[in-house]
Amino acid sequence: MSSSGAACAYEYESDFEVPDGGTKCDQPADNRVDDSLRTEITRAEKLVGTLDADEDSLAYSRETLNLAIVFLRVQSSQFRKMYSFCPPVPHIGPGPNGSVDLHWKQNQWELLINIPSDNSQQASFYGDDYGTQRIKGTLHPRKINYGIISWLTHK
Amino acid sequence: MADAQVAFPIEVIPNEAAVFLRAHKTRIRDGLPTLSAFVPKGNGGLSVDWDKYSTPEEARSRGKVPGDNAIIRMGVGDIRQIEEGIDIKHKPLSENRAHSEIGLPSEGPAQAEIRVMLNRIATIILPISM
Repeated sequence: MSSSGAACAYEYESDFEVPDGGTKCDQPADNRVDDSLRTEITRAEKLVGTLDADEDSLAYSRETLNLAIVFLRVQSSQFRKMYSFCPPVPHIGPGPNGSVDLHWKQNQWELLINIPSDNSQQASFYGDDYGTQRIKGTLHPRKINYGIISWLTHK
Repeated sequence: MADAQVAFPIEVIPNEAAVFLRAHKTRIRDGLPTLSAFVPKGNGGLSVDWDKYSTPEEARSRGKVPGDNAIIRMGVGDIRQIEEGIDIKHKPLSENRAHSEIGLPSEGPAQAEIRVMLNRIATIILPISM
């Protein structure tokens, strides 16, 4: 399984090498729309409020998905300001207890961020490079997290 | 009130065994399990079936719509190697002697880590019926 690849076109060259899963963008920073992220969000929206057919449990609420989308857009916007290309797009899916999973699985690294259904709680994350480097902890889903942004540039 | 009686004895699951996890089609993507397949119910563990008492086909048949489910296989020794403290216990039910549970942290980064690791050792042995 691999996370969706971004669909932004190339506009200019940068000395910074595009990392695993990322692609350069061709639109002004303020109105760039990452087509792959939009596609993934549209896919995730279809699961809002739906019953898990096998377990009779709700996948996740609109409110929780919105918080996950806010998180992605905040990090993505900052990422593009810093590096001039689009970050890799995660798979968005249901997590435990009505939470939302954001899951990047790349060739060189993997990262899971779990956005809880209780918006007073912190999000949890775990990532590694299939080797010795790991990140693990909690974060505020409405704030820029430079540790996560840095991880998304992993090669 | 008397405790509910379990019809089967509780046994120790050896490392050489394997367990089967049912994953609904909404938890499969591009033919592979997503991390949504490794979600415990409530604060409980992850329900699986021990291969000593269940075939993959029987595990699938326990789904509401069996054909909508894939069956994932994981080695018990592999599960126990993920992290000290993670374990899998036999919890037979009157209607399912194979029923077992993988203990997961109820939330937080530790749970996220173990879900990622479970996904890495998982193999789909029965895909969703087409």
